[in-house]
Amino acid sequence: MDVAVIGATGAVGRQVCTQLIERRALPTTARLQLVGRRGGSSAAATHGYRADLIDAYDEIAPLFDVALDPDEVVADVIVVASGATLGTKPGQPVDRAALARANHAMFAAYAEALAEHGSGDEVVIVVTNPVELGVATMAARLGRHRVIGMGAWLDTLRFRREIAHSLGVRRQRIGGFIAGQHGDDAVPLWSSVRIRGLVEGERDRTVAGLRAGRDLAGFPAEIAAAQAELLAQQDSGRAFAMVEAWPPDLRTVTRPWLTHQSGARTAVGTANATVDLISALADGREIVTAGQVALAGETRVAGRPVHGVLGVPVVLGPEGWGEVLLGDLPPDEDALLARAARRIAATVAPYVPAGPYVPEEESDE
Amino acid sequence: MSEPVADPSAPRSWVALVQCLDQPGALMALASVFAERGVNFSSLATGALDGRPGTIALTFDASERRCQLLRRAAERLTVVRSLVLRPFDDPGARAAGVVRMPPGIAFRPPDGLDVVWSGDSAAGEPVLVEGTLADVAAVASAAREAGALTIGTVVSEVR
Repeated sequence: MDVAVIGATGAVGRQVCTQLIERRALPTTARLQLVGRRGGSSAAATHGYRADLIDAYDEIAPLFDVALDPDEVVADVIVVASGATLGTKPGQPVDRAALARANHAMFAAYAEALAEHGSGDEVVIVVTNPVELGVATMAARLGRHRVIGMGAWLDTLRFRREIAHSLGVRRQRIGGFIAGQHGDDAVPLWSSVRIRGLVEGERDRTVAGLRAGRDLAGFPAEIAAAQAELLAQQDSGRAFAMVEAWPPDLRTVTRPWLTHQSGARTAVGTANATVDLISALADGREIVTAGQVALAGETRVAGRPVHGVLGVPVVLGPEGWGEVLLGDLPPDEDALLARAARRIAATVAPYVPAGPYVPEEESDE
Repeated sequence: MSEPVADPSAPRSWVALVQCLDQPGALMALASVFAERGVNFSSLATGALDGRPGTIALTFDASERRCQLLRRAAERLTVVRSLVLRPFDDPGARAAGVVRMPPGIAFRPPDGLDVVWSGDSAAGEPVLVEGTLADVAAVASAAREAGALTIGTVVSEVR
């Protein structure tokens, strides 16, 4: 299976390539295509990065290939990790509208090239933000089921880790999913949480303890208040310590946000989640994961079928995503997910024609 | 009456002439592109043609879509310097063949094929034939049915 990493010399792209090789996710007969941009600074850097990877990993590396134009992208799995990124200056607000403006043209260019020159069965994993816009743009040209945004899987891994951390266990003992948007409109599906070793009643009691009497109705306000509190904290060490004291769902959203604010990036964790998906595809397995996908009524939120991009638990296989695994939700999760769907639709609508799902207008303040 | 529409998913035969770097591993890299995608070679030959080492001639069956996928993937290999791909029956695909029949058995290429040939097989001479790949393959098939002792064919040109 050949993999192309668009934006291979970016922080996330580099980590994806390195982790693919380190984790032996690709056989030595596969081709890893490093995609840069002709005329940009990445053109020369992509060739140089190829040389560095060969230098480091010749014993175990796949075949390398450099591409500098969208129509040169040839692979079975394509990772979109290029474009503008979230700001990392302390106090710099996350401006997803600006990201959308900056990155939509890039999404569209690669979508058109793949539609024109591709094989028709590539699976595209969108990493670049806004991931929902990337998914919508790609899905509109390539087909819905071939495109998945990895944001919800990354958020899910974070959610599981925060729950595990609160319980003093390791992540692999925890199940559960994050849905919604990759960012502040993430929706922790507490109803999906499973804890290995606990039966239903024990789990319900444990989850109730973790939630400390809160429900998701106040979650957006909690996030905003937490971010304001963190921005007011001048000492980054103390800021990270403050996050430690918060409930798991709030930590899931604020810890990575704080990581960006600190000037570090979340490239390693992002790449880990991405390589998880690639590894499953390379192995030919179907897995249960979470991802931003373009829905056409496969699931219902707030009593209405969803048409548009939304992060949901899905089955992912070598041909893309298939079944959506979103059952009936408790009222607070359902309402928050509906809110996320509306806000995603508002981000996507200026760039990609909306589906027929237009939820009731409610104040999202 | 309108022409029946060809089924785009139906496999057809193809021939490719690939110029690779003349080094170990080049053939394996090229073969892996096909093997990974479950496409077998109907024939594969390596060897210098016109003094050009690193040349690989291969034939295979695939749908048009999969054929283009294989071509694009193979062209991305750093060991591939050039690749020319044509339908098996394209007049631009040329081949040569040699047939040796049992003693006293006369053989000549079937009528209607676009080949030039020489040799009196009944007199013990090899029959040499040159023409389009498809027609040389047809000569080889006819010779096999006629009981040929040895048959050799080589793709000589794909343009």
